[in-house]
Amino acid sequence: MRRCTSQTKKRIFLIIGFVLLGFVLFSIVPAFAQDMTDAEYRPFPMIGSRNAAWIAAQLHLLFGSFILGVPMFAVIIEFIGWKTKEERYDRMAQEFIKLCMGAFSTTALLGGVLVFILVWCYPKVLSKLSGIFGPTMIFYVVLFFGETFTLYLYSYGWDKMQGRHKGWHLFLGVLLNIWGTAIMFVSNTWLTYQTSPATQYGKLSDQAKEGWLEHTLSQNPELTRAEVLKEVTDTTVINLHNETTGEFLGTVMDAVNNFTWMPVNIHRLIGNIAFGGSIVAAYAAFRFLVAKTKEEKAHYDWMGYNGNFIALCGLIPLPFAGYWLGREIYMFNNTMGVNMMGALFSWLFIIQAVMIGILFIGANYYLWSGMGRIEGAEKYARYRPIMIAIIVICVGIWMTPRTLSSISSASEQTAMGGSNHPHLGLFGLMTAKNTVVNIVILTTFLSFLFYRRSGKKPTANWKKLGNIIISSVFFLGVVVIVVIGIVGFAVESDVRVNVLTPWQVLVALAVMVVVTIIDIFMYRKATTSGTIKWGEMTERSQYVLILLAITFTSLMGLMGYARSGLREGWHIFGVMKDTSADAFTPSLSSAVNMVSIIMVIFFALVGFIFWLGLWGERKKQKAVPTMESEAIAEGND
Amino acid sequence: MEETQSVKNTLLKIAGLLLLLVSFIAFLAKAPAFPIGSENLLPWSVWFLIAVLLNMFVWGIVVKLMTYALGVVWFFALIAAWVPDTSTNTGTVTELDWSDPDAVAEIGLAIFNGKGQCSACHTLDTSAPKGRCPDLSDIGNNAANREPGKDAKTYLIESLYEPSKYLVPGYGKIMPEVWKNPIALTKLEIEAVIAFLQSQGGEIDPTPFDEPIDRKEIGTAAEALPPLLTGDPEEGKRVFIDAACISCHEIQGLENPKAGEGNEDFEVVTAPELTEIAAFNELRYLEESIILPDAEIVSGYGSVTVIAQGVTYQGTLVSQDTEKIVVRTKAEDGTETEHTILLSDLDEEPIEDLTDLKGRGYLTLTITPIDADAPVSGEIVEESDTTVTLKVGDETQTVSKIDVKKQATLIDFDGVKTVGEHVSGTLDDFEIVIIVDGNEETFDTFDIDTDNSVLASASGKRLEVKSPMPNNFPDLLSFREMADLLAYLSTLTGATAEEETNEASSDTQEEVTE
Amino acid sequence: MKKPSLFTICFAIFIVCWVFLRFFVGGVISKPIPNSVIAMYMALVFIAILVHISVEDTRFREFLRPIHETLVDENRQTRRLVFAVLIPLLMLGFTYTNIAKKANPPGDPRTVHPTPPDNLTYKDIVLGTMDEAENPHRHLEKDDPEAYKSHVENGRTVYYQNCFYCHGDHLDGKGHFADALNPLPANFQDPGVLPNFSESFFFWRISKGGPGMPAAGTPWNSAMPIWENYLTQDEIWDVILFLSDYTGYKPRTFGEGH
Repeated sequence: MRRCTSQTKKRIFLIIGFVLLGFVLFSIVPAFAQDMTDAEYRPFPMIGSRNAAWIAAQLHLLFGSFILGVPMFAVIIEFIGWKTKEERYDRMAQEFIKLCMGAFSTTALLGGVLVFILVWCYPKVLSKLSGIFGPTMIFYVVLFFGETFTLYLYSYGWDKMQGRHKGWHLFLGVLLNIWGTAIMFVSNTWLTYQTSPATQYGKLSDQAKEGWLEHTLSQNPELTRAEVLKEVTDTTVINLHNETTGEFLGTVMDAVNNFTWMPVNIHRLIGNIAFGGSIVAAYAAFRFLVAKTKEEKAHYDWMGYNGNFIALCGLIPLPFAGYWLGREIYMFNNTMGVNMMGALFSWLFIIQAVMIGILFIGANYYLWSGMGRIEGAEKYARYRPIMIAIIVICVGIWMTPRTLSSISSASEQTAMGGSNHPHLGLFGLMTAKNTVVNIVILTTFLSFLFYRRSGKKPTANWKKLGNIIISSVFFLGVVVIVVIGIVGFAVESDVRVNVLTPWQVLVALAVMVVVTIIDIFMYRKATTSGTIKWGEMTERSQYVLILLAITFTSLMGLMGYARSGLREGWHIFGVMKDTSADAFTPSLSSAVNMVSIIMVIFFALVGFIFWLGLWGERKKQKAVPTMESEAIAEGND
Repeated sequence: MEETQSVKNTLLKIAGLLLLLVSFIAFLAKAPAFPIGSENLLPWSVWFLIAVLLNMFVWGIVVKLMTYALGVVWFFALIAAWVPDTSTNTGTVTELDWSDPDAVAEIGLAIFNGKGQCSACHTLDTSAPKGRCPDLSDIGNNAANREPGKDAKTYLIESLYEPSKYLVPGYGKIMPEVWKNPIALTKLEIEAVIAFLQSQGGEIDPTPFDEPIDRKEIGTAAEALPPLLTGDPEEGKRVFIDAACISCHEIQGLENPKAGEGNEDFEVVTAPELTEIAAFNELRYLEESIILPDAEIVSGYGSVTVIAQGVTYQGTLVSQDTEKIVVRTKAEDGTETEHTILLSDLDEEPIEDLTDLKGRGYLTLTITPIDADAPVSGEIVEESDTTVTLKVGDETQTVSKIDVKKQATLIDFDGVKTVGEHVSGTLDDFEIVIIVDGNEETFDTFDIDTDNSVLASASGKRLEVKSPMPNNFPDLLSFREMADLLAYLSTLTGATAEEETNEASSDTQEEVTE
Repeated sequence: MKKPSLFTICFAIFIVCWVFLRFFVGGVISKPIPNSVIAMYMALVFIAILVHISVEDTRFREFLRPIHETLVDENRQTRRLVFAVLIPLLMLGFTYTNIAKKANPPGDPRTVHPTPPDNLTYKDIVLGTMDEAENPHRHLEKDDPEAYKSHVENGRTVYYQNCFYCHGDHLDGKGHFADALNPLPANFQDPGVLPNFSESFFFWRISKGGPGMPAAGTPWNSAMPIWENYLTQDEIWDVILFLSDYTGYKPRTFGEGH
């Protein structure tokens, strides 16, 4: 059964074929592009160059996240299975790696399509980028090969490496994730460079320092070398380009290590964990809903829970990473920062607040629903209305826009005395939003804590004291966060950005760590008062899991637009102007419409891949038809 | 029975799926809403929600989930459509489809609220508080009545290209020329805006028109303008005093050094106070006012000479409307009297030269075309180089300016006046022949007082308003001085006066406010 | 008395929240809230109620019972009929009011804080990029408090000679002319104004005034004059110092690198 059948062989050839196609396209980029620098732009038929590149890039990125996020999930789960010796974890991990195979070839194919579109429609941009990033592109292809073969080994060696070699197999899994992360880091260099082609002086290579000095001296002949150096500190923002010719001054590493590279890397890495988890949860929810037998329902309920758990683990630190990224953008270019949070993109962040609100409310809803299947969880239900109120009020504050001029009529503005509401307008400020985000995160953590405790009875004799400590730590934490938030209204932004907000984050993290530690000790020898009745979940909660996955993916699409749109009319911000017909920033609604179309395509493709997986499974089980295959057969109608 | 039931079910399923897809795509494409065809997205939203509900009920779990997923994606698109849009895409109008004037008007509305930025000043709601510019809610109707003889479309065209050509009473000269930077509407966009304006209470007139401007020529002329702001305001202040502007124009906080020097004979003409002139006017207006004082006369400051029923009034034009004028005259002893004069009472004056009648202030014209027996008399509506259009009674009549019978009014040295139709000869010749009462008579020019006699092509009532300000400043001032003067004037926003009065002690402040 | 059903309670909570926002918050303790914002908050209240009742199956069924009864119960014929007429009518009315809207100009489609240009200029002199240009007197705050004070005093004079007419005696945007202006003059006492923008941003807004608004800030109906025509560079910088000294808010700075 578990031999390399002709079908798997075919599949391997297919994957390698796709990867080779991508490789060929990639390797000819520089030559191809340099040949055609005379043409700056070529129109893409029907939908236009920008839309074509947009769709291909976003789909490529989503599938890339899929094949990065899902293996991360798989390795974590495999590790848990190895340690707990529960076979179901191992089986679940394997199931997802199989799904990854299909997604992997799709990613490679989409990457090829994207490169083709860029070469065809934006030859000049690409030739500029490949001129700077040439070596990294080769590196990228090497990494892709590494990833391909590791994935192949990891997936097809799963059964053979059980038992004695399990450790090595896990190592392969980790290696796979290292390849994947490295691929993402490399491709991030190109696009972050487009947004922020500058770095801090201290991070420059010697060659770039020299180039920059010479350039500065030639621009300001009245200055001497010493005078320039006196003005410069390690944190001075250095533009990596000749201001007049746009010629690149540094080495590849200088371009790689630009302002937003690391923040984007971290943000995407954490985001991928959450994305992988939510996709797994959505898959489980789908299987749960179509399941016919109790066992199946139990299995997929459990799988959905694990997926959601991993997604939550990624979701909680995600706002912090996003905050860091935003701060770096402000550091790189104040104007870009103001544009992002206060001007052109300010309403985008209101939509983002709606989406993140859905994510947090949905995640909590799922946890609370899950407590319904645990005996002895009823005692926590009385806290729920308060928690709902807190979360909803916080989300409401987060969603409140600062300037209401465009969503209110002239008479309403007269009534409130201007375009800002005198009191609700305060909710529009960053300090208020940071405060409520921290509180929402803490409340979600509390929900999780309740879930964990459900059905267990602590036996430690200090449990009363422990509970008091936990409650007071929570209470104090919230009070400190709120106080810092209120102080934040009065201090200068520099202090707020660099001192207060990090402190808020630290307080929130500290509360979570302290509470987790106390809780672990309290429940170390807990007795079980009620079991988890897997499978007895409401259908509503499964719909919520699907909602979370779609919201998460849409959020990625939306923020992709924001990150790319921040450049406005530039291919490379401040260096290379976009002179094509598409140089304008599209309106928010047309951008989100575009994202919606991409979402539909993405889910159609993912659905197809899932269906392929099911199909293969059904074929294998043909000999012994089960209820499950019938369910699938019905699902395929 | 069961079979029809299942067929029905299948049909319902397919209908649900179709409706779902169509409404989703239509929503994203912002297609005209069914069934009302408006731009509003609400009907498609309702259709989509109906389709979602239908599919959730009739389909199996897989399609149900797909519907649900599509619903979530749609929800985010809905929020994005609801929040305000900010795009740097100004959109370009490449074509107007005049077969559907309402659609053109709709484009015009978008430009009115968007790129054209008209809505920043103009309101479209009579109940709204008075804006900085006239309300346009009924402009399609009243555009035709704003200027006598101008049809609605011509009025709108001219008002958009040359906003200061006609000013609605009570509103200032603040509208920018919308075809110039920074608004820079294209011809098509202006056409659409005009269609929209006409749709406000009137009929859309799709006749094409030529732009009354030359984009290229004016573009280069504007670039060639001297850099006016390079002047030095301090120097400008000196020019203001030296060029004697100060003797007529008051600027709070600026003392006239010659005041009180006691030149009793020098008559001081009142002229607008300039303390806040730059706060409300553009530099271009200031420049124009110095170079061409008559181009735009501040209400209440124009000087006028009219003859009504034989009496000549010379003074300041206080007010003017379509029926009467009010002239303030000043007698020798300094007493001022206001005279209200009906325009119909004005005396007809003979006109020798028929060019630029309107520009010279003629209101009516009595003219005899060469092929007519009786003279034609009426209000001047429009004129070109060779013709003039008169409003005679309720009709308009266009007559040639060239082929007219001239009228001679000959006065001899005894004061005897002979009026007749001119046949030949001029006042410079030796002889002049006219027809009096059907008889041809020949006059010797030595016998007549040629200084008072007139050989006129026509006659008409005239109301010429002039600025009392001399129009030779361009000759008096050097380019440098002009730039300095303008630089000084553009500092006069009232703020400087406040500053100086603040510094002054309280009693002088009282003086100034008095 | 019969205990009200869960449905009725939820409905009552919803109405109470609306009254609270619309009349209590929007009338008694603060200024009226725009309808769109109330709608947003009410959507959240709706979600909160929905979450609470639907987490547990028993409660959800209890909540749905009256709806279910209305839909199928034999005795509820009249109620069913009333709803069958009322709901489509309400939907029609809603659709009608939404679509029959007149072509009103939008409230104020401008961006309040538009993106500044790349370079900060005074007349035509380039003072550096928006990020780099800084207040030349700011460092005195630490280096020479006496001189700093004199600059603040100078700024105070400039402010009360030029700015207070609109921006008010207390810098709260409530000057004598404020009522006549749209947009209202900036309120520097608002914590959202000074701390959110750099001094170069304020220099830009002051020096270029309303006419210097970029396209994103249009329609440029700000009545603010082009102050660079009347004030020197130093006066503008001083008045910015005065603004932050008076209100206690510091304009945004960008930490290390500068």
